[in-house]
Amino acid sequence: MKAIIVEDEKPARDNLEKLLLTLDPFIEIQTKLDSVENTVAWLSTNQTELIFLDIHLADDLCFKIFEQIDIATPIIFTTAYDQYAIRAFRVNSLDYLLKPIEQTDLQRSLEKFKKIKKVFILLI
Amino acid sequence: MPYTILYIDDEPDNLLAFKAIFRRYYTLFLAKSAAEALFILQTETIHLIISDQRMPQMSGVAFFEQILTDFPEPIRMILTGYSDVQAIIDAINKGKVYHYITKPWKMEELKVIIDNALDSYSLKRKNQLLEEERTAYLLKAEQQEKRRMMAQLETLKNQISPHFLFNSMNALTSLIASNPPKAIEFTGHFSKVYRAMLEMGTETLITLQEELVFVNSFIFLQQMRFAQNLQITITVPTFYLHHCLPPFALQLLVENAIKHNIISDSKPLTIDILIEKDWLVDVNNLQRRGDTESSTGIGLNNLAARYSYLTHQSPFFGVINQQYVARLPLIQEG
Repeated sequence: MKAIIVEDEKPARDNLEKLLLTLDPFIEIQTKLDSVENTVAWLSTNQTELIFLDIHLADDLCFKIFEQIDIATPIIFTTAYDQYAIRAFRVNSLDYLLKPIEQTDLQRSLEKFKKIKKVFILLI
Repeated sequence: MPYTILYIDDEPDNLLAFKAIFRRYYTLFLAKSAAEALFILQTETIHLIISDQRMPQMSGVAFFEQILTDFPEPIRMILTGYSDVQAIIDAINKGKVYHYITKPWKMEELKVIIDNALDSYSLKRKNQLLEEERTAYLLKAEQQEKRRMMAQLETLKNQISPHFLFNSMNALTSLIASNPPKAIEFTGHFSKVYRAMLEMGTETLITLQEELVFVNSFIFLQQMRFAQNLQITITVPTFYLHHCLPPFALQLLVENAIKHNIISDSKPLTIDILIEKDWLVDVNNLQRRGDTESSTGIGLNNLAARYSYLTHQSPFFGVINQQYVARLPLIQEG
């Protein structure tokens, strides 16, 4: 499974990556990005299966990404403070995780993703 | 300053007689008609108006009635040779006349009446000034109270900034696993910041040293989050450590810089804190985030308001040579 992490704080980025690899050693983190600008740039030339997206990025709120490109990939939002949940649900959000991220919550999100993926494959 | 009296009478002999007697005591203005009197009122400050009642174009009472709204302040007196009851009633009711004098008047009597009238004017005026002063004072007290409440509210909001709190917890979570000694250090600084927020909020002034201890802890926490993307240098000569400033003033500047600017691998944020003359200066490279337009400026307004009670010098916030610059006055205590 391929995924990317978009998060402006390095310790948070590293922590999420470590947690993900503990839960699923076969997950491939293609890249780690920190801003709206470089996320838009990366997504316009690359494909991924799952996006971990922090709401407060280095240069703006992540919602600016969706104003610039269409994203069909499922998104798991991560945020320190629960004030953007409703905005997040307007885009294709799969789950919404509050920081500090707990392993059980992350596991639940990953299972949710895998279920959806299976349904998606069956439909095809 | 001598009192000014405007005397209106259509008979020139009466004007002359009045002038001959009273010019020694007061500054006199004489008018032969209501029209002339009105012209004088518009150009001079008059304390007392004495008018003859029977004049060809307009009666004295009618004149007083006419000028009531435009010139309410001068004391009014009516002078007449007739014992006219209706004129007396009108004078009191319509013209707000202070005194009614019948001709012929005696110099000593009129002098006493005029002096009493002028005393009354003076008292009325003093009373009015005191009332204005009192209103202004009450208004100022009310504004001060409002600003004090705002300052408290702002501090309270800082204390519970959830974004800062949970991001710090998140940074701590990753530190616990990756670097336990750093995690312990982090917890220490976090406690320091939180304790300062609880304790310093009620002070009006603290020393730069106290503020720096707090700000250093605050910076430590922020640098754990942003690592090398946040570069802060502080250069403060020891001499200035005992100068004072309102609590959280410097912290607000650092927090604002972090809140409003891009902090990324490709665009690190640098903040320099230094002393220039007797001012504490904070400079950062200006690279505004896309979502800063929602900023209300409450924090800086609040800081400026807090300063206005402490010193006549006001803080400066602005952009100079593409850099954001904030200058805070340092206050020497004692």
